[in-house]
Amino acid sequence: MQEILQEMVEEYSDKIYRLALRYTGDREQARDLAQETFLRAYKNLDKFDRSKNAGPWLFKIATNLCRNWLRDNREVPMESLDEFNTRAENSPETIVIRKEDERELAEALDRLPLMYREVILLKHTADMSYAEIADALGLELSLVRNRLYRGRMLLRELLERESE
Amino acid sequence: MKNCPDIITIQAVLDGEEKDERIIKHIQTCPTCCSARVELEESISLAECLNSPAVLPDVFCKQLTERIQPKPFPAILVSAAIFLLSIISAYLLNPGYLQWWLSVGIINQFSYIMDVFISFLYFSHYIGPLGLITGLVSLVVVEVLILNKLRTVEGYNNV
Repeated sequence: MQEILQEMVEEYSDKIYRLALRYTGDREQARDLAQETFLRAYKNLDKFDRSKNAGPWLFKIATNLCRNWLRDNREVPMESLDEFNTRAENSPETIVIRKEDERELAEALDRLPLMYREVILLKHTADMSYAEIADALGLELSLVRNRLYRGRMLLRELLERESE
Repeated sequence: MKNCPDIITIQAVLDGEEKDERIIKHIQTCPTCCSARVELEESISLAECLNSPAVLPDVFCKQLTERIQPKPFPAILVSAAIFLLSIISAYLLNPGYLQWWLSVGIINQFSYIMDVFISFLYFSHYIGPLGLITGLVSLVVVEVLILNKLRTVEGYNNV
């Protein structure tokens, strides 16, 4: 494996996996999408400007793959929601509450329009800046700011509805 | 009130994207902005729940490396196929031309085959499968053309 790709994998693989996990809700599928992201990156390394940060470029590939996955798999499996709680060392009661919260969160996210979901996930699972999100999604900075605001508000509204 | 930043700017402050000290200070002190800030903070902390501690299994890197590594080029098969092709084409053009091959003896035949095979392996490292196949096919074409020419010169058709 080329050194540059090795660095990308070390820095971004888990973040891309988490992003894909939020789209698919399935560990296997998320792993495949993460792997496919790096395979595509490897095939297109010559197109990557090495003076730039690899994050937006990799997340652009990952987001496109997730979009395609969503297009082909409308039914989102909910079986692997435990994934998010496996590392929590809490009491059984807390885990049950967290699982319930996690389910509500996943359902709310699923209802969120894709244009908001993409921005929110890049912000909160990949920890990207506005400029990086704009770069990854090919959007204007002002649009990213607006979508992030609207998306967060809508997510909150959906969660409140879920918990009622 | 008039100097209050819009909600998108307040959000940018909370996300650490807006660095203007004047705006930051205003948001911290202005009662109107305060309620908007609190509401936004709640929305952001809810969205923060989307982040998870999920990590990829350790085998991920190994699996990726296996998929990235190029498949070994079947040099033995290709060399055998090209060699066979050249012999058959020579035979079809004129069975008599194989006489020299049969006359060189088993040791020379073996060393010739080994030379060709090692050359194929050597070149496959440098020019890649596509280059190697293109080169070898060109050699066969040249061979066919030469044999055709020889046949015409020797008047094989008239025999």
